[in-house]
Amino acid sequence: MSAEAIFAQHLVNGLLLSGIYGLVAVGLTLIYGVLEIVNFAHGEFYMLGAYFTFIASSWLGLPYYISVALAVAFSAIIALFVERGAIRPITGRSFESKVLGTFAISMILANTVLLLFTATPRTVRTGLAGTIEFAGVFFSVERVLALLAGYLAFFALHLFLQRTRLGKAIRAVAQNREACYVVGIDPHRIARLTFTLGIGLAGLAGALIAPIFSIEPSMGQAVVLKAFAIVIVGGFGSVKGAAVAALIVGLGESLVGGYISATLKDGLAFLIIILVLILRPQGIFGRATRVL
Amino acid sequence: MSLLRTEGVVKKFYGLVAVDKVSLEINEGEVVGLIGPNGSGKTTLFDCITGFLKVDAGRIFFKNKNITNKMPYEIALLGVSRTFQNARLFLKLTVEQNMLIAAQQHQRLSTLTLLAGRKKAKEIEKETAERAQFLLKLVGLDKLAQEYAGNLSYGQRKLLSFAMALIPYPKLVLLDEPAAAVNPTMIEKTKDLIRQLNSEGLTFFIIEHNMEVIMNICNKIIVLDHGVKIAEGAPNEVRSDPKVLEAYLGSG
Amino acid sequence: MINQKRIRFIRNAALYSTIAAVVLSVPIFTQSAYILHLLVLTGIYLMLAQSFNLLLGYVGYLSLAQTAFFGIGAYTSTILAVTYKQSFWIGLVLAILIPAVIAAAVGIPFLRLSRHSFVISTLGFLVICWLIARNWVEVTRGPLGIPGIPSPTLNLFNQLSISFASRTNYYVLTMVFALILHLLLIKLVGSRIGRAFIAIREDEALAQAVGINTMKYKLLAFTISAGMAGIAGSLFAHYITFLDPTVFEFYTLEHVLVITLVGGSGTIGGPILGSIVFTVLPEILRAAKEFRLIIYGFILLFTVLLMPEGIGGKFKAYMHKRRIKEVYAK
Repeated sequence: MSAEAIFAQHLVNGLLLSGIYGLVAVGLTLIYGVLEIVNFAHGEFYMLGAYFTFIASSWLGLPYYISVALAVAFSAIIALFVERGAIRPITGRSFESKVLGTFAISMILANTVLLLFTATPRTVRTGLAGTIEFAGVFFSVERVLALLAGYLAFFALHLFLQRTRLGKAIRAVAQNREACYVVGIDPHRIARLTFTLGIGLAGLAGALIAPIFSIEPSMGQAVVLKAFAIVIVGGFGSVKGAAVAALIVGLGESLVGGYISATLKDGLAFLIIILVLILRPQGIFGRATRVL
Repeated sequence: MSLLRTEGVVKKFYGLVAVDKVSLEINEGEVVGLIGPNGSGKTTLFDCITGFLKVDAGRIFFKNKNITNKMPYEIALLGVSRTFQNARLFLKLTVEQNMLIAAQQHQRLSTLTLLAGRKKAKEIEKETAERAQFLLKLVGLDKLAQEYAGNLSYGQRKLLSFAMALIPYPKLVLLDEPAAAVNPTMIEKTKDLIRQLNSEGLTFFIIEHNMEVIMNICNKIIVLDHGVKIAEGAPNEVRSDPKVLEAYLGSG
Repeated sequence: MINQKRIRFIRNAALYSTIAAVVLSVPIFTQSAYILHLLVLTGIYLMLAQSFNLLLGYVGYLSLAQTAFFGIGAYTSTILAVTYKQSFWIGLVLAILIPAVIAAAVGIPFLRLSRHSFVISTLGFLVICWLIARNWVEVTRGPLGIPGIPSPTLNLFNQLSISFASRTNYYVLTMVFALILHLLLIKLVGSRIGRAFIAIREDEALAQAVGINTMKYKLLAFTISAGMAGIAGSLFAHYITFLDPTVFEFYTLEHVLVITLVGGSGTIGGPILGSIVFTVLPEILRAAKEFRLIIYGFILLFTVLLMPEGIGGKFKAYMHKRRIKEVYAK
């Protein structure tokens, strides 16, 4: 392949990863902004989205689009249960309790799936045939679809947060929880909504990525760490920051993996975490944290 | 002798100026009050002096030594104690343990050279325990020494934080609203304690809203409004200063 | 006053000696390889749990990097023994020093961060260690792991040679270390350093206000706990005689979390109780590994929600109530 083609391949893959990681990361940062919880279980919902898609398309034989929609719906339903059963009680607790609580949820979800499906990787067949050509490289339809859908979802989210009343309410609570009582917004309702939204985004990401890479129960853990990297770089609670950081991480990973070393690319996200934490702890867009 | 001096201290939060070029001086042996309407920057000034906030401009001196932007623990070890507005305590520790921790680091200064001498260390520990007992008795909390600080009433917590501020033999004590939400008997007790300790040479810098307390025990009052020092002087002067009246009435 | 203190000291010394004697004499009563195996693992995980406990329970910092130091200690000791043919004892010393030095180095930037970022950075550190273990094949042999780790031997005065290959002897070795570690831990926690730790945990700003250099103490705790985890790692590697990057994986971390939290962080006895229960219990249940972790997850969740101080914490609260009653009764 020509050099341009190779570059195009890495670029498109990088954009795809950025979109997917971005969806996961934005959910994570919204949940942090509104509920002040660092959701260690976030990756598991991404994984669930992928497995729901697998069940819907491979076991039930449903068309891909419907599988994705169902996967997102089921993710949201599970999110409601988790929010009521586990998240709401720990909202007022110490930070360490919240972390451990979501860690526990992550353990439960990951190991349940492991038990039910075993560690064997599964492939999701979408039945969508064909390839699309760009700059001399042939990309599978699923890959392009995932990329486009990812960015479309991002755009829709942006509109939701900026234009709709509910979206603005979410941004308001993320900025100042107490002030919202005065204006008549119920923070609990917003919290529930935001959690569901964040999880739904993660589930969507998982559903989109499912046909592209094989899925297995531990996929959530790998991605959540990258999502953390993005949230740290972009700043906790900043959607804009997450979007920019996702581009950096996704593209960086693809380019490093393609041009330098495949083994190094996994480490990239974590090196970024460490560097940013040392040099600029509040991230690029984040709120500066007080000394004490 | 000048104990505490600030020169043009400025502190901003995202463009809002909380402390605006405040310069003041407190001499040894004084009881200085810091008053002003809510939000005038009093606690912020305390935080700057004690190192909890970094100043954006200006300098702070303690005993003519530059302490600007030093870490809070360094400033504490130099002899500056403080209490907090909401009576911060180590809630899950007992009253006695609270006192001992407050004294602990300061002991180190004198034991540093005698680290090898166990006997000396034991003496110092004994002395600290006695001092803790003495101070607790002074504020009337000695019977509650084994109770968890979290179980104390608000007024008792304030007294405990006062006692904790006193145990490390400080030179300067900063009190943040010692009389707020405290019953009148305890307020009287607090006033008496301050007078008594001041007569023994302790310098106080007190934020208060309770005018009766301020007028009664302070020999100098500094007034802040919107971060600016608008008046300074003896209680009588300040009380009748038109700028001060306007600051309070205007914002009320 | 002095007599009371002396009485208490003698009582504590007697209690400790009794416990030590009981623990060390177990092999006299049972030769069962299975029971001894469980107890060795209990001891090793207990030391790791205490390292975690020191940071979380006493200083108030949740560090997910403890299993990373466990792994670093394990690999240090292993590589020294297998590749460089050094004795176990040299490996052990380095298994303490190298994690401690690394902890001191990464601790300085990490401990300046907000609590959220600290937790995540320790997690990032753990993952980086995992990646290094998997990819630095020249040194660690990657996912293949390092087999054939020799059992320790102790040569005394070139006359007596004790081999720790047998389960019984390894049990004694592990327990000796565990007992010494606990003694040091108890002393540390009861000292003024321990009080400073607790002050930091309770209210870090207030701790600064009373003159405590919080950064110094946090770093000290981080370094010490890394060394503790390193010892546990070394003992682990030489016991299992095989080491691979899975030590850095989440199973170890989750096991330690459950032990410490359900047992009770912030007490010495809590993790002891926790490690006994959670090493013995799964064996009794004989459940598959995945099922066990699901149950662990629920236990952890319920503990966080309903009993965050753990069993040990509840016990401590009960003892304090009793003591208060005594004081008031006087």
